[in-house]
Amino acid sequence: MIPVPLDMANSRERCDELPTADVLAERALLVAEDVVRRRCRGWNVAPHVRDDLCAEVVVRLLGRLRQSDGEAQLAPIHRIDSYIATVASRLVDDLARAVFPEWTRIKHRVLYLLNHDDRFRVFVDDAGRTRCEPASTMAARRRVRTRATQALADSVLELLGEAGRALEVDDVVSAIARRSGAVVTVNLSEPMELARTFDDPFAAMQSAEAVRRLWSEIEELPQRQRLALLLNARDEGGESVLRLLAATKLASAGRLAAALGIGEDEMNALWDELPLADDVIAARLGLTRQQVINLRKAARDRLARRTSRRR
Amino acid sequence: MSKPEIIDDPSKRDEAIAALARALAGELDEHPSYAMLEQVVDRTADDVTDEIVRSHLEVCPQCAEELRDLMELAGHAHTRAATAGWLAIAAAIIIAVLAGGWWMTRAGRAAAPHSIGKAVTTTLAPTPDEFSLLVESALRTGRIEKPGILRELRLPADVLRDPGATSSSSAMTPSGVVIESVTPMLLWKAAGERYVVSIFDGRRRVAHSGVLSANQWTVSPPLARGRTYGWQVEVRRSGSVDIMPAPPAAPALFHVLDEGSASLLAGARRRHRDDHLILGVLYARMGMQDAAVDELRTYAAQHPQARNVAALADSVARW
Repeated sequence: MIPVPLDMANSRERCDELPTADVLAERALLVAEDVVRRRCRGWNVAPHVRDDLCAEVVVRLLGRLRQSDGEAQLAPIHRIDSYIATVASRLVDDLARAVFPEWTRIKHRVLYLLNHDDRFRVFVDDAGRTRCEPASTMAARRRVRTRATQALADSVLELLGEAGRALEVDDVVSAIARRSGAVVTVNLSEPMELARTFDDPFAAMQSAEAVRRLWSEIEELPQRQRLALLLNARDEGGESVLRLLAATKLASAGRLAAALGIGEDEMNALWDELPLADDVIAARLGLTRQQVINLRKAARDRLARRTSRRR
Repeated sequence: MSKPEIIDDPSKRDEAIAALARALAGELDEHPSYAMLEQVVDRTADDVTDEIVRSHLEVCPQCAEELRDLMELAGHAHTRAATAGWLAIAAAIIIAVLAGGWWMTRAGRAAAPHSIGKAVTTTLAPTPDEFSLLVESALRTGRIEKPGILRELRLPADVLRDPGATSSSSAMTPSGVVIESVTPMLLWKAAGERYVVSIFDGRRRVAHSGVLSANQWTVSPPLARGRTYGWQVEVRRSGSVDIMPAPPAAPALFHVLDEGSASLLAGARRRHRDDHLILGVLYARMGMQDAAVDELRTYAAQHPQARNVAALADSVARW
């Protein structure tokens, strides 16, 4: 592990400073390449697609560090390698979802089985790989209940028996997928849709009409997600989006109050407080700060998916 | 107490709006992790996690399908997705009819002492299979509910801002329908010299055609079952490239019948090969509108006295 300063209070400028960003990027690439190579083996993924994945890991890591400007309360990253590996692994999961939906489904089934049946033991080895093996004790009590899960359990036990050693969960999944006839090897020779996936979906949305449409989607968000987003969101200069919405007349004060679930009097009292910090929002909602952050991320994700679907 | 002042200067207002768009911009996050899905399945998720996952499922059919699959695996099959909702309807009908039969049997037994001296028929009626029960239900009510999946596949077009824009998803087949084949043939209105077809699952392209000279393409590799796909055609002409369907037209979407429904349909065809009524009702329940109308009309043509079937066909055709 490299001794990098990962103080989340770093300013944007500090994160951009060389050599810190370069060192981080280099380290992230090393870790990401290892994860991507290991998890994509047997998938015939073209080298440049792997490169795209690794590059995306770096982008996400640096983006996460830069977030400290707006969200100083973000939890610090204590183990950088582990964080990078997790990001890389989740990107591989997304890739698998995109190109091998059946493989992903089987993986979820296998994980569910392993986590709910005491005949199996799941562990993470020294290299960070998730492995499984038959449980050593026969006193296992928990059993899966459905016929489908029982059949899956038999298959996994058979595979583990044949191997005679612990297997990586991904390998078990691929073996099951092959047995079921699912396609697990495709030639990803094109510049995958990964880049498309992470395009900024709002590049063409900077117009009043687009913001109105966005606002109507925001009104459709579940209440807590809406509050987590609106009460905290601000422009680059720190101005609250609620104030900007009112100032541009894209939404009336009454409509904003209704979206927040408060009366106009309370809205009037709120103007000077905006934007609110996450801990303040958390106190209003009776949640933890992290839950507020998670709700806001979910809101933004939902907006991205909803608005991209409409375009 | 300072309510924000209205920005009157048009250029400043534009700047503010652009800043707003950036500040409120959606940002794709990772899909919920397996751990989150498992918590929802096991009902151990806290209410925030539960809300985040369920909110995501509303906009991500793939994750919705994954959760449904896990639910089934875990034995929580009652949470099946809407696409398979007709199965639940069928089950409810079967249960209702069987319960009715059980009740009538009991009533018959109870009434037996009063039937002394009468001839009692003990011959059991053939057990009606589930398909016949679906038909009975449809004929009794005179209609078949439009499956919810069709509403999801037939999104309204955006408001037409450019009256000159003519591209429409109606010029593309299949669109707004449920299909059975995992390698459907896609057809579109001839409009250029070369075409490239792309198929998307959500935002991700899952298949594309390469450059074509004909206005049709049979999808390859096979699509996954139980998924909703969008598709578009890049129309290449000398000097220009257009996309069909172009805004403000609604996206061209189709849903590939899930595995369970497909095998049930295959079973129904084996058992009721020539029964156009049963097949018609089954197709309708699955959202396969055109096939349903064809079968029902075939049946109606063969049985002119069955006016209710002709009406049923018309009602499905009006979806």
